[in-house]
This record gives sequence, structure tokens and C-alpha cells, in this order.
Amino acid sequence: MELFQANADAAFNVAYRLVWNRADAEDVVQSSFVKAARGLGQLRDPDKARSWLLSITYREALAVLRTHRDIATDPAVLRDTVGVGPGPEDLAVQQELAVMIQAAIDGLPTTLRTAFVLRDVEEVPMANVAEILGIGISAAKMRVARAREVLRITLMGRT
Amino acid sequence: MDCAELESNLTDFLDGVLDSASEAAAIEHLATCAQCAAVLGQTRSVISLANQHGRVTLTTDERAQLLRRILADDNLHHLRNL
Repeated sequence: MELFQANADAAFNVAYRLVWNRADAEDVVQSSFVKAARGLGQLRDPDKARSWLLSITYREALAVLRTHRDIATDPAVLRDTVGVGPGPEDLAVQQELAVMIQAAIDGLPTTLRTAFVLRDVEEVPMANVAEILGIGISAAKMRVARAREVLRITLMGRT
Repeated sequence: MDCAELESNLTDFLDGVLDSASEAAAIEHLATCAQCAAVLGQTRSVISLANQHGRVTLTTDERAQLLRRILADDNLHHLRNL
């Protein structure tokens, strides 16, 4: 259960950012953990369990995407599920900020969005981001850099 | 280091993986270029904000249901290792 407890939220976050629907994202997480459990014997390095699981999640989510081309973003659901910060005194500001950031991330193209979520939201090391996405480290860096730039301009304007 | 070089090295600079000579050159450039310093500051803010607010998480109920669904998979033989 350790793998589930430690990674269920990260897997859900990655899945949701691709399939845009909580029910489908849950299905993706379920099938990812089932596949991970079945294939656990093939995992040579236990330190890579998180990356390995997220790479399965990414592939599973892409497979769902391929069968649900018409999935649309659902801002109403997003607003309901945004995590909020600490004290009640700044709750409104925190919620507003969170909605703004969620919307900006949602507006990124899929390839940039997944790289950004893995690196800057889930804090996956760049080498592992590349591994999960099945691309080279230079390509992963470029995607993350581009996503950061787009978000910076979206949220703060052109410098 | 000029502005274009800083831009192309920004990700490595933020990740702290530039070699020491390049890092020193980047710091030197940032000390004299207000525009690059602003881009760096804003990029750091974006990362920090996304890290704090960019996550969509499972509710406690969803998490419990999901775990039950995974555990209910009849063909799973490696669950103890999960």
C-alpha cells in the first residue's frame, strides 16, 4: 500500500491534467496501480518506483485520450476541487489565486502541460520527467522552459 | 553571458545544475540586467505558485474508494507489494 499512499495524488494529478474528468482520471489511476502491481517484479531499482508508476499513468491517460477525443475542460469541476491554503483570513485570495493558476495551467498545450505538472507541481526531477514522457532530457527541459515562459507571460504579462 | 544565453540556460540555472563557471557568468549578468533579473524573479514566482496551487487532488472518499477498487481486482497477485 505504500506505493499507493505515496503516489495516488500525483498519479491523479497527472491523469486529470490529461483526461479532464475526475471519473476517467480515477479509472486511469486504478488501471495504473493494477498494472504497476502486476509488473512490480520487473522493477529493478526501487528508487525509480515513482517515475515508473507515473510513466504507466501517463501512458494509460494517453490511451484514454485517444478514445475520448471529445473530452472538454470542465472549469466548474476544477473550481470545486482546487486545493486551498492555510488560514481563513486569506481564503478568498488563496482561492482566487488557485483558480487563476489552475486556469493558466489548463490553457497550456498538452505536451507542455504534462511536463510542467510533473516538474513544477509534482517536483519530479528533470531526468525522470524525460523518462516518464519517453523523450530526451533536452526535449523535457525545452517543454518545461516553454511552459514556464507561457505561464509567466499569462500570469504576469510580458517583461 | 548575454540575455539570449541566460534565457537558454535559465532552466538549468533554476535547477542549480549549471557548471560553476556558467553559474557565475549568469549571476554576473543578472546583477547588471534588470530585465533578465525580472524574468528570473517572475519565473520563480510561477514555479512557486504552481507548486502551491496547481495540484488537483483526490478527496478522502475518492482515495478510499479507489483503493477499494484496486484491491478488488481479482487478478491481482502482487498487492502485498503495493
